[in-house]
Amino acid sequence: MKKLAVLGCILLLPFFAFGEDLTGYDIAKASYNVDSGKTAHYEAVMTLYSKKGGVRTREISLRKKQFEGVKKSLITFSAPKDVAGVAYLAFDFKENGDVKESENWLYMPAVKKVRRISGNARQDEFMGSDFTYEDIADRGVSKDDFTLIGEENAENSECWKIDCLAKDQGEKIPRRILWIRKDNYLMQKAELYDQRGELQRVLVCSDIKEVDGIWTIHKMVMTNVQNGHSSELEMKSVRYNIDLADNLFTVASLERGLKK
Amino acid sequence: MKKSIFAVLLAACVLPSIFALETQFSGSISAEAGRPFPNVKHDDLFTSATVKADGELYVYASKDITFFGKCQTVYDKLAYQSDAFDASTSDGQFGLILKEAWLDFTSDWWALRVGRQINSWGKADVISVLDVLCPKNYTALPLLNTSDAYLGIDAARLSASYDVYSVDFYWIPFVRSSVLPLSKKHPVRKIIDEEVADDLNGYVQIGKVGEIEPSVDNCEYGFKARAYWKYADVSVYGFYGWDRVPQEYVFNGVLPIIVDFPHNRTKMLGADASISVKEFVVRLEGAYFFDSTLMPTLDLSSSEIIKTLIYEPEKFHAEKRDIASSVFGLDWMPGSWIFSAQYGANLVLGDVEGLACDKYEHLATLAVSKRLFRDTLVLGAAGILYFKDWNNAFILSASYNASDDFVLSLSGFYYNILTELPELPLFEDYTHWGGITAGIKYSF
Repeated sequence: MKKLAVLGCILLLPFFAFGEDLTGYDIAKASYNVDSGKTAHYEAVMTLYSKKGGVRTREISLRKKQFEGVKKSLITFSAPKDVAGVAYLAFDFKENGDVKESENWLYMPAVKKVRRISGNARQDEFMGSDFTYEDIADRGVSKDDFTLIGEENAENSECWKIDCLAKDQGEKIPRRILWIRKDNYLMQKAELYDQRGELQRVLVCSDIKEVDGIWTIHKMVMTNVQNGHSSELEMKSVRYNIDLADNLFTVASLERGLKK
Repeated sequence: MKKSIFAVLLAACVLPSIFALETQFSGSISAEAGRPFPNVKHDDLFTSATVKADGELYVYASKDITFFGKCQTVYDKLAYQSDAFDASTSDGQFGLILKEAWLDFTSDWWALRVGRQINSWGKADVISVLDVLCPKNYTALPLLNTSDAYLGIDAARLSASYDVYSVDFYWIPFVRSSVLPLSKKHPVRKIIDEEVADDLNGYVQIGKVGEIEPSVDNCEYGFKARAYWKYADVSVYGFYGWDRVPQEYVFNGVLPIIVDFPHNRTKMLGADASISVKEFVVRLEGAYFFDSTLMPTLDLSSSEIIKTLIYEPEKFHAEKRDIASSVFGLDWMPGSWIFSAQYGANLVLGDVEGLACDKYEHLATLAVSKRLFRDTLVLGAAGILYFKDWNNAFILSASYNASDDFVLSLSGFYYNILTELPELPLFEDYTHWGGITAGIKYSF
């Protein structure tokens, strides 16, 4: 019996050792590498709440496809009518599995033109919401230094708490604190700090469930604590590993202005 | 009667099929009114008074086949843009413009689009040298190259793509020219008629803008090839067609002498590039026009013009020169700001003595816009400066999304023409002029 106990400890030791050796980077990397399918198609509603209670909605379609060395995303707006047809195409170039660079284009249906936009625009507000383009797309793990600062419950889930400091402290959000769920490595909550070190926005994720075997966040609420605005992104339809044509993720396709 | 019955039966067969397919309809209704600034000359005019209704319909026959139609009905109380209508009432105040109507077939690597379509060439704003494909409606005041001013080409466009490369070929059998502000009630036409009539004693009259008859010889052709690489987008263009705005005027008859405006061939090769450099985007555009039409200068008194027209009309013949045009632009978009600066230049190759142009002309534009209150309010300012004589124009604009469906807009423009013009009273009244326009738009 004693020998069994010792053997069990020896066998389990690597797991304990691994658990104790987990760094903030390991957890962030695992979160970044959570399976999101080779392709994905989300139909979502973005609701913008003003401080005074005003409400505006945006209906968007988000398609993603993994190619060799690059992940491509296409976001198109279908409502309201004054932004319907606006489309945003992003190529996230990966190196060793991490996003190194990104190229972005915006299609403006009113002038039938595609405009290349700078990579810095990813840190700007996404269509008047409290989300940025980067919040919706991938940031990668090479841009930050990660420190595991503890474990904490967030939204009734056991999470690791990670402090992320941007390597480029000139970024608009140079510091984030993430709560990563222990059971599925998805982000449960995030706090985003501005360049003065003050809390600017809080992201809370909810309605996390499996779709086609892939853990998916169905609702994200971003609150700007400094100005009282908030934005909610709710997935109405989620499909993974469906057939999405390669040529859908091209600038030429964007220029054609077909809404579907 | 038989034709009517046939049409009704055909519609009865076709319409249910269309409505059985997946369709998306959207539209908007907008109203706009404009007046000159107080204390400018002729401040009793209206610059615009229109109500427009736009309708767009997408019909998805299958995954690969799409039909799109866009129509605009316009009530223009001032009848300024009556020449732009495809169908109109006799007073020119109410009309219809068919903006687009095309059928699109898309496959894995090729696509074909047939019908009236709007395609925008070039990457510059306002002063693009490559945007020769689509005609424009220049009747609105101020005479700006706005997005709503584009008119469609009746064309077939064949596209092919592979990876980051794609190419479009255009065949345009029915040529449309831009619409100029020459309708009878338009203030620009009135200035021309009154000045020409008054000063040239009625001996010279404004005639017609030429039309290009559909024929095999008169077809237009174009291509655009592009590559979207990691740091830059590059496109190459070619166009063989007709000028969208006549560059030549010819004098016919003897007293009264009629001035007509025929179209001439346009042959262009060009390229553009868009390059990301940190937080900036650099835009470059260049075009080479072969055998462009240039007219002689009319630096003569009115009586000398009339005498020359009667006795030496050969002095007013157009000449051909090659022209190289370019635009350099820089965009910077920090946060909710957009700054865009452009420098454009024209170089006429060969001798320009006696021609109504300079060998080298250049200008600059600057545009700034700011989005506020979560993109509900957009403020903009833009200016253009011609380095010859320092002619300039400015526009300030504001648009506010009162709700997801309603947009309110307000804009003001002012221009200064400092070039020495002929001493014509009516011309002088408009050399420093501007106005304000207010609008409202409902989208559904």
